[in-house]
Amino acid sequence: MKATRDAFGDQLVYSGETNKSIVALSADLGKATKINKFADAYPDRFFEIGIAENNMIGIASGLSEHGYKVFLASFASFLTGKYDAIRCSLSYSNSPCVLVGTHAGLAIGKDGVTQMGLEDISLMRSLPDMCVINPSTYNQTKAFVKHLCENDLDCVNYLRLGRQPVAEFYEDHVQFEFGNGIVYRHTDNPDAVVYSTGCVLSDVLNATEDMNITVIDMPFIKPIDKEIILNNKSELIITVEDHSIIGGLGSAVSEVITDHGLNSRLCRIGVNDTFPESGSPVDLYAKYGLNSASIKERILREMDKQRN
Amino acid sequence: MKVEPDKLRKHVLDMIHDKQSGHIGGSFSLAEVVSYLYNTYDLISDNKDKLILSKGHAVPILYAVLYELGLIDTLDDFREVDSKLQGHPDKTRLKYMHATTGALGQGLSIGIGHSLAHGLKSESSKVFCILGDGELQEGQVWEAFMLAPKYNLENLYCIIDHNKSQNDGLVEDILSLGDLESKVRSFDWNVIRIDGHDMGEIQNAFSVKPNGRPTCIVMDTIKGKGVDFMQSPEWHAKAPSDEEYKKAIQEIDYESNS
Repeated sequence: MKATRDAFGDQLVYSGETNKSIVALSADLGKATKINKFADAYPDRFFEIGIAENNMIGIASGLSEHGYKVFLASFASFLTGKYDAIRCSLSYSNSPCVLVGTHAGLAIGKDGVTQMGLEDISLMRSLPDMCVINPSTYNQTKAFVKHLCENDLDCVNYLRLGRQPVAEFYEDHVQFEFGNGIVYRHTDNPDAVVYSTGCVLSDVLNATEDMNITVIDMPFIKPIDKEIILNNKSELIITVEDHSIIGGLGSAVSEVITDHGLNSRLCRIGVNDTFPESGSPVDLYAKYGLNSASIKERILREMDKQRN
Repeated sequence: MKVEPDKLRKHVLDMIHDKQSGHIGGSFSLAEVVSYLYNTYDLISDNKDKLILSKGHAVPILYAVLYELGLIDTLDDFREVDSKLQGHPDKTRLKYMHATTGALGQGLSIGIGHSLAHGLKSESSKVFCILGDGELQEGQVWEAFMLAPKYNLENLYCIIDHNKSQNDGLVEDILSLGDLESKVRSFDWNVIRIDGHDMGEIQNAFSVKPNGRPTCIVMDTIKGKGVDFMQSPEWHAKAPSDEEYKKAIQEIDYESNS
């Protein structure tokens, strides 16, 4: 098992060898975000900014004007917390680059709430033209980072990565359609369709193992893959994310349901509009309803409700 | 063609009087330095020198320059819907703006990005960032002050429009900057203090050899310079009445001709 942040560090080094326009910035979390691998390989194209995320964001804007493809990394919470700098210096400025926010969700554990990216998707999703990517596994992350490295960027991208090693569900070098969701487990006439985003995929798959349920992996939260939602109709739709239930995958799916008048009830599983606390990741995922046992229990309850 | 400060001031007055909206005081305090920069460096061609107006509210003075140089046809749609002439600089709408600014404190960081890019490409183009003195109250500015010397950005210039006044009053009353020169010098910048309305002093300041360091030019300026009755904090974002407009134009004409 490997973490999605490892895939980022590894792929950036591979791609950086041939693509000389890639430049990396760090704000004193190079080891944790894995961007230091790039720094070690290509020190001339790496700038250590120090603990100054706003400054790093502005610098990315200036560099991108000259055709450099800038990857800037910090923890999801610290990076997206600099919302106004991202909004004005990158997003409204239309300065394409890749914001890499790692240690998303509860997984940082004992360090506590200040270090947890729990509202980051919500913040980034609100910015016009922002692309929000929350990959689920090492191989998937590698594929997306490769895509970002090899293609011209036409917008600001927010790549949300996890701290924890996660199980692999995709082959190495598998081709992903950039922007699309993936029907991971299809069931005819399912009792529910469950949408999962990011590193909770293995818990969602474990939780739903014996159920008559379709599971869809949704790495792209903005733009959201509307087609996959419209093509997988169900009376009960469930979203699972290691993020606030406000503004993330659950909200994005609810907007599609509302905009297209789908006759579905939506249940959003995530951090329930609260600030969690310090604790081991195992204890936190249990307490806040995001381990496979509690996801399973919740889905069974919702299916019961749906039947009655 | 050379840009002249008082012609710029008159265009600024026209725009802000016409739309009854915009920032006169902080545009006027920049008239001389902006004229010097456009008359001396290539701030128009792609891949040349860059000017980042971090105090984006003073953008009328840049629109006035572009109009004088024939690069924009009209100033009539300033601050109007569908215009390139947004209330604050918008590089996505007007290519001569080298950064989108207006949320104060962000421009010097963007300038560092440009300057690092010039280094990566082994180009010697210069990057000029103009900041307000009140803007220095933003923490991000000091993050940028701290970083620039680390990368020896000797083609980076931070120009501080020290007109002593900000939105709600005098800088000294709102939040004093203290010994500004010493503060910036202690961050390992070259620091030069000049009269920002004296063309000779401006020219000398930009002629000093940077010796591997970024340069900060602290310009003592007068907010509303050019029109006596506009030299008070209330003219930060006030639009002139018809009568005030006439009086101001007369004064600029009189000063220009005398």
